[in-house]
Amino acid sequence: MAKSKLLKLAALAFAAVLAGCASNSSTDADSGDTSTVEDVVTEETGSTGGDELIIIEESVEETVEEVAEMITPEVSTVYFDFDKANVKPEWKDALDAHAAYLISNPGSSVILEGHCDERGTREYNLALGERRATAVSAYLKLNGVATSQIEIVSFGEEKPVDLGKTDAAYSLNRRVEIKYQ
Amino acid sequence: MRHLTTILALVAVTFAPMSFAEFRFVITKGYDQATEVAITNFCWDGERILPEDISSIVYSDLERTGQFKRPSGPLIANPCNPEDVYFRDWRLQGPDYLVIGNIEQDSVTKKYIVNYRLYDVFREMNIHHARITGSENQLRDMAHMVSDAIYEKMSGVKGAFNTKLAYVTHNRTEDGPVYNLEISDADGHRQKVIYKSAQSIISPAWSADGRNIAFTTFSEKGRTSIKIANRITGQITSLPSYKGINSGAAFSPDGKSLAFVNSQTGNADIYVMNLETKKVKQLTSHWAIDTEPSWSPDGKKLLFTSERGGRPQIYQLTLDTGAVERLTFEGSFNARAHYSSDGKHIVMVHQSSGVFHVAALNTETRELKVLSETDLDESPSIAPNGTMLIYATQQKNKGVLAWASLDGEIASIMPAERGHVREPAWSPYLR
Amino acid sequence: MKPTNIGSWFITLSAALVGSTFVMAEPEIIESQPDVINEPEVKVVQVPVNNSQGMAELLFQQQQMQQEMMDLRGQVEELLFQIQQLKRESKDRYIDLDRRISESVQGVNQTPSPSTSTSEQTATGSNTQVVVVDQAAERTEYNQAKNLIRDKKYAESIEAFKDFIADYPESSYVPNAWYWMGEVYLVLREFDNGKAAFLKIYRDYPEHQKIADATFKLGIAHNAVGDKERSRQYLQEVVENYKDTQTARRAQAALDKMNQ
Repeated sequence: MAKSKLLKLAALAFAAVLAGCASNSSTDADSGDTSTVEDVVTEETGSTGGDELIIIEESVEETVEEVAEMITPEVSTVYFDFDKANVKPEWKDALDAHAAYLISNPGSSVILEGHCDERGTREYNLALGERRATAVSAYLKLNGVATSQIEIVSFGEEKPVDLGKTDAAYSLNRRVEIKYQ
Repeated sequence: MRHLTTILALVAVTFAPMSFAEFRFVITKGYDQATEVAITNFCWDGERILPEDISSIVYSDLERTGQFKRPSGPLIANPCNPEDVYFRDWRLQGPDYLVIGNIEQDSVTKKYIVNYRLYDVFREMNIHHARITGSENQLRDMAHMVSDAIYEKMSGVKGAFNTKLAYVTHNRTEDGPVYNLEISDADGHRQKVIYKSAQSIISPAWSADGRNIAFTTFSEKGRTSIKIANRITGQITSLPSYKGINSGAAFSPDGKSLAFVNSQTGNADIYVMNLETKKVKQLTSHWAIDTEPSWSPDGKKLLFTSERGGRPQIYQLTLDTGAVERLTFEGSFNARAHYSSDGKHIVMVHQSSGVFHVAALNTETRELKVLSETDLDESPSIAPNGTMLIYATQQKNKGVLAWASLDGEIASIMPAERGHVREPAWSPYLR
Repeated sequence: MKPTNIGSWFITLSAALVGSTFVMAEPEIIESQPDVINEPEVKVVQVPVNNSQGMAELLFQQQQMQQEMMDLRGQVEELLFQIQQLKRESKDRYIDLDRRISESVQGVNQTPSPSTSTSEQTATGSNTQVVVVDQAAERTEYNQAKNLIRDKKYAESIEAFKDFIADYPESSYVPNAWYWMGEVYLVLREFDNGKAAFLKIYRDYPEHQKIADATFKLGIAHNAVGDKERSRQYLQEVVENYKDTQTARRAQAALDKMNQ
């Protein structure tokens, strides 16, 4: 048993090397947890290695996707800095989740609602809110979401969630709300 | 059910005699030496009490400018005719000017005739007299015409009392928020609702003849569209709704074009529509925000707000050459610019040190002067005589309107009795 | 047993090697990589269809660049405006300076004494405004008095200069006024008054640029009333104290003539 295990290990190694080198000529030593995959391989497949690996990975991916497509992502509001419309990197993961959902549910669509705090003029804030929604939309589209699934609107400073005059209150109003239709 | 109420709210044009907001005037800053004017109670022989007190309307008009005040005590006399005016007595009381008048009613036409005279007390001279005729519901207008005439004689500047204001009110009711687009006299009286909505209304803009008002409405989902209301007939027409923002409408001085903001290209740009042919032309095409178009008095240039230089500043587009020139270099935020009718000043919202004020830029000297002491100021609008302006600000978390003079000397607050008021627009001279 | 295992292992190895040569450039690398097992799993999971890491970076960079461009544009606009202002101010200053210089050259005949007055102007800083206004009026009055001489209205010019001195006693033109008065008195043959006028300068304004001329004229005046002794003294003083000047030469010439 130890011998065959060793053989499979070797086969696994070379097939893995083949696959790895085919996609990338440089080999860096990424550390990963190999034990679980190994066990799966030895339990479920024979000694051929390569193809099964991919099958396993795909089925894992499918599970991840299945989970994603059942529920719309939790975080549905993205916040912005004063007078800025650029999506900050901290919202990347939240937006990735939305992108994943939208891609796997091609029938679904979102309205991206842009908002601002009350400082400045109403018309300018109307345009700024739209810029914020557009920035979120750009991110989603880059990640594969179809343009037809996204609509952009702006309420400018007309619909604040917090009527206070403090910086904290203002920061809650500078947002894009992601609303599924 | 919800849809039905939404539709009703959006469709209605109501001429409600009363709306939520009624105005008071509180002067917060005035000229140190206001000129004293005495106005007698205009003599009226009729039996019934007149529905409007002309003298009191004229007093309010003059006092609101901060340049004039009434005598501190009761008037020593109430002459009805020139021969009853004794200047020696009036000099004792002290006013610089005296206004006397009388009102008659033509028994046949039922029209009212107002005769009035303006005297310079120290020179003992009658410097102006006139006669105005009108119907009963024009009594207030007639009073404002008296104010305009005597103001011009006393100050040398044309009056702007016989004008109107357009503004938006916002009230929270049990059924949700209610927004009204309203018109009133410049002194806040005779309010009339032009348009009602459950969603926000912004940017009312008068046409040059004072007949139409363009404004922006929101749908529940957030789509904006531009509508035009006829002040006299009450009719509402909608402009076609293009993809993106439809807002910031501004009538050209010759009334033939309408500039507006649209973002179908992905960012807000300025467009202009020929109101006759309905053809639309794109005027700016920069990827930064370009918004708030406003025409120069000769109709050849457009002021607009752009953040193409990093922060919002005022730029000017020359229409035939397409050249764009930046006008503001002070402060980190300048927006919502309008020319005075003589082209000498541009008023705008200006931010420096974190506070949003109303400021005026002298177009020759390029000097910027802050006009208001209030904070979070928005949407300044100049009176057609170029000396006063009205704008929106906040007082104790309530939206109120405020007046300021272009030289920065006068200020007063115009709060509503209930609810919030904002987005004021001063009408041009009417008729 | 062992040989078989090694053998089969060797076969697999060769097969792998053969296969891998078609895909790899450097077959040697495999043999030297003990941990190569880990790497491909990670690679297979990340299918490039959803390459959000790269895309996100692109978008963030683009947003940054746009903001940077806008800021730069704003700076350029402001710089242009400041340059325009500087040009205008510089031009205004030049015009003003030019005007002042031409006025002061006009104000005094030969030697420009307003060099003292211009330095007064620049020194007083915030008072410059007031000084300039007064000096304009002052200069006008002085020039008017001088114009009377040009028009041969000698008596009036004397009065005008007297008024000027009364109006602007601190003026730097006062010694000039005395000088002109002296000259006019000489023309009018009022030699005593002339002497008095030049003496005023000699006594009270010894540092003035007109001192040489005043001393010379004192010599002339005294000669005119017959006081040759004093006349020579003054003329000699001019020759000695103001060597190599035009005035010294004139004084010498006068002395020579007197000694003939």
